[in-house]
Amino acid sequence: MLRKGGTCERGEGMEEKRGAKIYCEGGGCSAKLGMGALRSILAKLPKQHSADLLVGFSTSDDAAVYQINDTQAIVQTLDFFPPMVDDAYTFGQIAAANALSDVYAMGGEVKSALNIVCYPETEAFDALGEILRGGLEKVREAGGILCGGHSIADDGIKYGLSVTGVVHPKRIWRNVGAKPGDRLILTKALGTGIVMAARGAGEALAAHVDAAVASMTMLNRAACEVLRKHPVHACTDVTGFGLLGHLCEMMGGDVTARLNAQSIPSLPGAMAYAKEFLLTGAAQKNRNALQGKVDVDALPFEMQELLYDPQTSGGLLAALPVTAADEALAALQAAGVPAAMVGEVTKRKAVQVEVSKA
Amino acid sequence: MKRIDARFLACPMPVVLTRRAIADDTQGHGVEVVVNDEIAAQNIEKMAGQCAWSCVRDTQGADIILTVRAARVEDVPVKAAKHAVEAGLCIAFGEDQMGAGDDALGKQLLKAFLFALTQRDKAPETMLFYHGGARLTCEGSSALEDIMALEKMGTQVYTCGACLNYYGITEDLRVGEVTNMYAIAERMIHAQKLVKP
Repeated sequence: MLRKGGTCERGEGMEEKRGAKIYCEGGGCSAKLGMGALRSILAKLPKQHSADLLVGFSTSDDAAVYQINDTQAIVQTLDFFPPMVDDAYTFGQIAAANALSDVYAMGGEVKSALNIVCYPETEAFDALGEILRGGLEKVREAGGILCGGHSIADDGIKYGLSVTGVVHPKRIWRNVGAKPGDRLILTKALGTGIVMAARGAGEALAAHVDAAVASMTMLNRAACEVLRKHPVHACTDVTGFGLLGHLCEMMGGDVTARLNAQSIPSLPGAMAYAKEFLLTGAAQKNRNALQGKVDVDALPFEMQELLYDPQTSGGLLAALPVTAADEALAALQAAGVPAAMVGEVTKRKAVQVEVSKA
Repeated sequence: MKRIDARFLACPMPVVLTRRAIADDTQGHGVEVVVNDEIAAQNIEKMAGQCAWSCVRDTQGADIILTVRAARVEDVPVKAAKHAVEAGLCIAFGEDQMGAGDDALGKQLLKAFLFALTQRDKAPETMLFYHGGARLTCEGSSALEDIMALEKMGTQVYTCGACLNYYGITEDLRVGEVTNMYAIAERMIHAQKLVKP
């Protein structure tokens, strides 16, 4: 029931239906189409140009950015996917956090969002109510307002958001722009795909699943707000293509990322489950798509899998000048963001991503 | 030869079923796994490669048939027995000694405590090392072997990265994973039983 001002209040007579369960299998960012197939199709589409389009899809960036005046540009993005957890409210929270993240990855501020819903008509509708409540509360937490949406009947549940944000045209964080000497900061641990795969196989400890869920529902808002106070050369968020895939998107023609494997944060249980081959199909698709672009063969198998692991609602991955990186990292950690310095940027080598020998 | 129909199953189920079947295949006859998804086949081949099992691929229409065999009976992987871990028990080590009074005695007591843990039937689910405790999981720690033994029993061992950094011993970590205060706080709060020696 929508009142004026857009707040969604519970009407009289509506019981609180907590804990509604939904069917989930795979889902999350494992459901993305493989990047190779997508890229070749997108390359064939006719190109459009506009002086006001500051960021389009040619650089595989996180959101589109369209300038409207000297100090404001609209950030436009959308994300939706099938469930990866069986609690409806949690799924709504994760899907919303994931969609909102792309605004933060551009250095922007969230303003408003619209729901995108696919739901089977044969399913109980109280679960849908829980999904939407989860999404709405996450949008509110982001400082934005949920102002409508669209739904269709479909065989499977899918949920997400179309999000609008704003950013100053001169302070956009693009994917590209990292310079040799920069340090790379990652603001969330890796491993959501692995832990949820283990859960799907009935082999994950409850505490590990809880930690993965907590990571997926965490907004990148705090990370963005802290990083905005420091010079950021490039930024993206880590989602379905894994750390390696998104890092490759950042490493344009003239730079290479060198990862320090020891510093890469993993969610509790992720490495152990990777050792047991509790892996997603999407990770293997990422491996295939990145052949020849990354060199991580020297790493133990489970660490490699962590780096290919598709993240659902992952952290921000930012390149900062070395003079600012330590201070930014300390500021992030002081703000409660689980950030880590995971590597550095060098001049282009044979591959886009390599690992340091240490 | 056991035949597993893993068609239409989402990852990681084809891999899990294969791994379980190989673990049961104590005679080393091999297992035939049928999938209808190229990525599922690649994930099984990836596991076979890592475990040094033989894995031969064949196709039958839309189906991919993988014949997997552990090379020797001794090669069959045995999963760490879940019953060896006491679920919900978390032990936090904020110092490299136990009790207060005499430092040398304190360090001996803590080493004895860790040794005592290895003698129990079940290992703690989680052990957290931070501040002075971060030294215990690093090179030079007299308790290193005991902590490694607990890790083999299934204990998740975590050391605070900021603490390792502070002491300049990040490169000296020898057991378990690096973690941060956010994760440490979460594990402490969610532990059913939190013990501080």
